[in-house]
Amino acid sequence: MKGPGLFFVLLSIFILPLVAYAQAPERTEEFVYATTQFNGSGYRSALVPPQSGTIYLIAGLQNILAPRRTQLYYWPITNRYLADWAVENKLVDGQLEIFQYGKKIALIELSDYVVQSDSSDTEEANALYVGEAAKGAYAHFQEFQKKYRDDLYAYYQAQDVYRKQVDEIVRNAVQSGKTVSEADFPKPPTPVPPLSLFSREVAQGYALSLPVGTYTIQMRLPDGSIPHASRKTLVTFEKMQDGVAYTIVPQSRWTKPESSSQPEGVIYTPRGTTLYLQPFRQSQYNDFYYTRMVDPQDQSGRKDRTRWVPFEPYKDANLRHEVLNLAVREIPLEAYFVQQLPGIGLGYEVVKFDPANMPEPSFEGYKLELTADNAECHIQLVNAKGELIAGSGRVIRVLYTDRAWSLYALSALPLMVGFGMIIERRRRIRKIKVDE
Amino acid sequence: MAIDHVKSKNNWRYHWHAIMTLAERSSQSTFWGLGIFITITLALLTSALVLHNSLRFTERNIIYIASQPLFLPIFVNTDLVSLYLAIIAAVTASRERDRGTLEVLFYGPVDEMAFILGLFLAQLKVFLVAILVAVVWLNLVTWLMHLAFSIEMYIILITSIVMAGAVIAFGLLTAVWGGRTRTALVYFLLVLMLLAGLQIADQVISSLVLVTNPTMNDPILVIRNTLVVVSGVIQWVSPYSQLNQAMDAVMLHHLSGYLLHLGVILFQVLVLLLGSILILKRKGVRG
Repeated sequence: MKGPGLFFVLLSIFILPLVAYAQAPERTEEFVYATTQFNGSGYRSALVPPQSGTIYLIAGLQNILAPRRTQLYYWPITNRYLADWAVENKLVDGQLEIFQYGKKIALIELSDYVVQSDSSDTEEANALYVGEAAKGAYAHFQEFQKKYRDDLYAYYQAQDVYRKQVDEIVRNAVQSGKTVSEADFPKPPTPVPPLSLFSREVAQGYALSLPVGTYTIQMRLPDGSIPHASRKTLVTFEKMQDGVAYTIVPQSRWTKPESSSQPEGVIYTPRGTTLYLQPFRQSQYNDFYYTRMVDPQDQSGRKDRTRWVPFEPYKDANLRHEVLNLAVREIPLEAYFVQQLPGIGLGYEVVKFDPANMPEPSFEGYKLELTADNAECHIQLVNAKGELIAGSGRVIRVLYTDRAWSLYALSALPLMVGFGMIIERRRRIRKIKVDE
Repeated sequence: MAIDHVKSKNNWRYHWHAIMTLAERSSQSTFWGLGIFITITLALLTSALVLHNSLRFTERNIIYIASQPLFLPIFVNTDLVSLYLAIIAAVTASRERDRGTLEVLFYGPVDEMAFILGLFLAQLKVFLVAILVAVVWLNLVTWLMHLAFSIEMYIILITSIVMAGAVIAFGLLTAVWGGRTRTALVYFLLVLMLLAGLQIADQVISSLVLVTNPTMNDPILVIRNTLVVVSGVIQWVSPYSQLNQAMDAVMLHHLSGYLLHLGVILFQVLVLLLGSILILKRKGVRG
């Protein structure tokens, strides 16, 4: 290769990476709403890009709309508009105007808010604090965090002292040749439980709690102008009903559980099956509204469909098991351990969890053994007060799958009848001719 | 005035007699053939196959969760039988015209309304017998397989009679509209295939989008949205879709929703029958 050719080859090798670098998505400064919406069990965030004309929120609950300016870009790999919050994340100061049927019904000012989650509180794991309460909650979190840090520091120091004391006792025992018992050792320090409270930083946004309806919202800046893309339709909807979903773990394929979300759904199973049922709280929503609320860029939801959304596990309840109006018993929620069988072949057994001999439970559930004696049963959760929990009832039936052949035998009967009728008719016609 | 009143009363009596005679003759003709028995058997065998599939799934999967495992077999069964009867109705009506027997009939106490209603009631009567067979089959199957008995099953079977009425009425409409037997059949099948095809395409495209990427820049978003709109319209036009939606309403114990869909199917029956009578009046017995 001669001089100029070699030059171009080398030049293209050097330029190519630069060209590839230039393929980075173009960012433009845009007005967006960042939502902090209640999804039925807790608060989650979502970005509403200018391309989404409607915001969906659950009615009658505190939700946050935070007006922000950010660098928006289109990410072709996932077909989504994304915000580069690290480059720009500015709060837009102003008021939020809410209209219904063309009439202004509310004017909302920016207020402080904070979302906190407490993993030790199963009832209210995720909470939103607005206004002064937000500052108070954040101050409480900081105190809690400081106390945790102090406790942890004290624990490590106590552990250091303990270790030194143990070393000294052991050293003395070795030197003196005495045997030491457990009573000779000091009590080890109690470990600090992990920090269960987590908090986001206090931010500003519009706190909304609107009844079911369709609204129009727009921002009014201090100079009276309306930012581009701040005008949107706001749809607030409510859940259709609450219920209890079950994850059903068959003993013979415990890693492949099934889910029963429809309260009217019958659970069919073959004879001799053992099932473990795990209940979850759930709510039913319009598929389109809920999908768009969780992700305003998700187009998969449909208005003519509903969906059950499962939330946290249902604890502190027993399972009432009724066999065809005969025997009624309550089954407690128990922990189980999956034990691999010895040998090179695959196999396991599900046994009751024994904390003394097993590391940790594989799963928790209500155990149901389905035999010929309980081929049809009804289950429902019962709370600590003995009350039946609405929406948790299910019917379980054992299917006689070995009789499938009879389906086809029964189906052929009309054809037999048809043949019989035609033969009978011909016989009658022949008879008439003979008589004539 | 009094004479007119008696005359109109007698007119109705003659009409009714003509309708019932035509219905009797036509339904008997259907029953004397092997076709209806083959269709009922095929419909039941298809239902059996659908149910067998569920049983096999339960065996393999250990768990099978279903609100109404018999709804799909009922749906398949009633669809097939009603389709066959609609074709029979279309063929009978257009053949009467092709052969010139329609003209002869009209010299007697038969008019457009009696002819259309007679053929309509004849096929509906055959469908009722098919439903009775289905009831026996479903009860035996429920007992043998240990499925859950449900009153909803009967509600849907009764609703399917109205649905079959709409399909048969549509068959009659294509017969009087198409004129010749072959043309009537082509019209009937084309419309049916178009409606079914669009709905199947909607289902397939919807699931494709869910499988790939459900974001706003999906490559088949426009097709999907168009099909959603088209399918939305078809859902109100197709009696099968209405039966399907009535089934959903029954499953959810949504009474007003069920009554709405039942009302829509009844409305379809009335419109189609009225349309058939009017077209026949306009076109005349010779087409």
